[in-house]
Amino acid sequence: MKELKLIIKTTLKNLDYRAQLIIIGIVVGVFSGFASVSLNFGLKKVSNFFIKFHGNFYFILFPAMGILITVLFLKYVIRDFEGHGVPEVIHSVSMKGGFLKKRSSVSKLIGSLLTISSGGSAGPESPVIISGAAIGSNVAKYLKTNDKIRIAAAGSGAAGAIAAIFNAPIAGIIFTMEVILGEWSTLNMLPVAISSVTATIISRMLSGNQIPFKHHLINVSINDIFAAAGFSVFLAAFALFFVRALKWIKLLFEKSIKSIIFRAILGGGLVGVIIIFFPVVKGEGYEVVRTLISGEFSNTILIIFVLIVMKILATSFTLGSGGAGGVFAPCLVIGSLSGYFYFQLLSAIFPQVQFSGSTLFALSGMAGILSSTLQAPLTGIFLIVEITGGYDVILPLLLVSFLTLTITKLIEKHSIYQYDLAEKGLLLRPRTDGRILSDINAEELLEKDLITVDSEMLLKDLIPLIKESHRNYFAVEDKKTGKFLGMVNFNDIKSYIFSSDLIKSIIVEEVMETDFPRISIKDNVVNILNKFDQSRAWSLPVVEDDKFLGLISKSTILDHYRKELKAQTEY
Amino acid sequence: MKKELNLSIREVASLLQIPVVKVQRWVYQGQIPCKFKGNTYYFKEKDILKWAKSHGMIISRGVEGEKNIVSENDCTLKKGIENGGVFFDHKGDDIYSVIENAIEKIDFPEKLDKSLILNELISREEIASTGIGKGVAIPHTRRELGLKCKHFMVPVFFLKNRVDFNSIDNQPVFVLFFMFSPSAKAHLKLLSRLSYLLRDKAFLDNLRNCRNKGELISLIDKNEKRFKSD
Repeated sequence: MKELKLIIKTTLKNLDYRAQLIIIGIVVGVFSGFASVSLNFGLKKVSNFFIKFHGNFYFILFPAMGILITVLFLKYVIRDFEGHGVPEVIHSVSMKGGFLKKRSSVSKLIGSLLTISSGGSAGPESPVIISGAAIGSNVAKYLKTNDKIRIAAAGSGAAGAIAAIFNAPIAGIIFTMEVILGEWSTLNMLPVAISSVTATIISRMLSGNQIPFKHHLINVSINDIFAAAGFSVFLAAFALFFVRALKWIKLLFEKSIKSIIFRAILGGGLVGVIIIFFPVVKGEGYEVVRTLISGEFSNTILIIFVLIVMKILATSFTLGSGGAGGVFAPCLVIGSLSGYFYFQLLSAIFPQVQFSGSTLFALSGMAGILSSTLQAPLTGIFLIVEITGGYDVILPLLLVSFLTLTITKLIEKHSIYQYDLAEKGLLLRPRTDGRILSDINAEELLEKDLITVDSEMLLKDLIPLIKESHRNYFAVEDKKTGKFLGMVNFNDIKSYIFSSDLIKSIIVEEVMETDFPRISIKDNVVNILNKFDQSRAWSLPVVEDDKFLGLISKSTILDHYRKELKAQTEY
Repeated sequence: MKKELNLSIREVASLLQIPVVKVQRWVYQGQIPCKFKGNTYYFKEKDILKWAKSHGMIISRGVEGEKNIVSENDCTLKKGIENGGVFFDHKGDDIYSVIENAIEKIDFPEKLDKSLILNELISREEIASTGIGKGVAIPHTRRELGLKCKHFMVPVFFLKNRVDFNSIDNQPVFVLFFMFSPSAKAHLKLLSRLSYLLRDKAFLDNLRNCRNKGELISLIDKNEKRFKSD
């Protein structure tokens, strides 16, 4: 049996990489599809179970309990508490060769089941993304693939997950390329597409080929186009409020409450209070979205506005206090509510103008909020198209999606997935200058063919060494301790070495340079270049534990960079 | 209201440490923010600083890492001797005693520890003699004493009796030029000047015949004027 496994593994490893990618795509698609379907199934079942509690005042305690159990489960049972879902996947794919923990395949699935079914305001999509990516990553790990294939596998898992949970294969692919992988390469697209298709098939087999939201035929008029443009401004404001609230409330919880238990209880408690008064806000909120799209939803402008704010707060409290879940679904809710809000506003201000109806704005709103929060405009557009089954509203969707993103980006440079990574300098996209350089390490750049001299050497004894060396620099070490002291630059002493009297009375220590930064062997190239920039030197010594290891020259860094760039680019 | 600083293309080039033609190219490509006025363009300092920061560029104003405590042009033998003083009939029978006695007489600024200096001077002699020949020695410490440049000193001691310094030409030493320089570069410069002067027989004779401070200083000054700024 073991031999059979080995044979399979070896055969697979030696296949052409494209065949490998197809196989991986299929396998990952199947598993990520199952993951999505099971979460959806689980959520349905549990919420049916909880239906009898609705309207009961005790429901106020449910989110607190739910989030608390989630937090305890993640931290102590499955021990996958750190890590924020999608940012973790992005970081792994861009900097860590696509490695993800096995347990991440299920941890956030169970966590979000607990959080969402107890009323927490979050979506099941982000957990499903990390599950899918972790599945992909570990399939590749099992096959012992190289970094590139593993990264593609992780991305495929994410694509499959989105494709299955929404029955939206295109959105799955685009989301992965736009957000997770950050680049559109043929190597990646193959397994991503295969996985997306496979997962969608699994999802349709098990849950039937339904789109989440019914299709409504919509006529788009020129009034609607103008209205859509104006809508973007409002929507950007809501998007910014959402992103800021998520960030700040999370920060607030983390800074002011040290105990994760109290955080969960407080956050959950606040959510509970909100959903008692505004039950529309609880859970993923797909029901609300459905009514908003179908036009059945009805309320005053003021109430809508309050609902939007409450949904934003509830989501921020849920996620900020440790609940597991994602922002996709809340984006859809906020977006559709904003659409309805705007439509009511327009109708009140311009009663004589004919607009197509609230549905168009609900759909555009969803696309706009998604686009700006995730900073993924194409994902926003294609997801809405796929889950509502129609291209009718493609024009306002395009407008709103891109305009809202542009306005939002003026104020928020990064998406919610990126901001904490970017702040730590951990966001490096493929084939960018920083990313390529970060692959090169100090050891690769080290030049060791330098002659070291001891500090008390007379200049006259240095001269034969100058003849021998091809270098202008000599490293000076303390005669007794061997510690690195400085560098002698031949250019500095040129004028003195021709007087025979001087060279017999000057020692090396008296003519060396000491005022420059030293490079550590552990420095990455970006640090090294900063040191070069600050000191304006062309060569700097590498010193570790006071021992001279070698020199790094600025000029050879260019050479290494070009070689690295070539290695990473195909023509 | 603080007036906003506008920069010329040359100033931007200097700030970013790039040639002017590169700034021009960046303007045409739309890479760098600039303002247009008629046919020319200019740059607002705060826009450039913000742009550089968001693009990870380090702005350096002026040269860093160079110890410009004083320009090396100010470090002349004449100045050093004026700061350090000239002493005649200096007593001592051997290297140690002449140096020790000299330290007592030198007026070090900034409360430096004389016994430390003495140790440094002696240990330097032990590594290699500072007797550079023709009866002259240049005692100095291995490390700079951290003297601020205007206090750099070249105290001169004419010895009562000649002392054996293990000089490179084995001649006994009759004068000590202590070198307390502010930097390695200054030290080398002063040293090479002295060494150059000593090759001149006339200078050497005049040096031996110096009887007072004024004579020495005018001798040095006259000869040093031969050096263009080097």
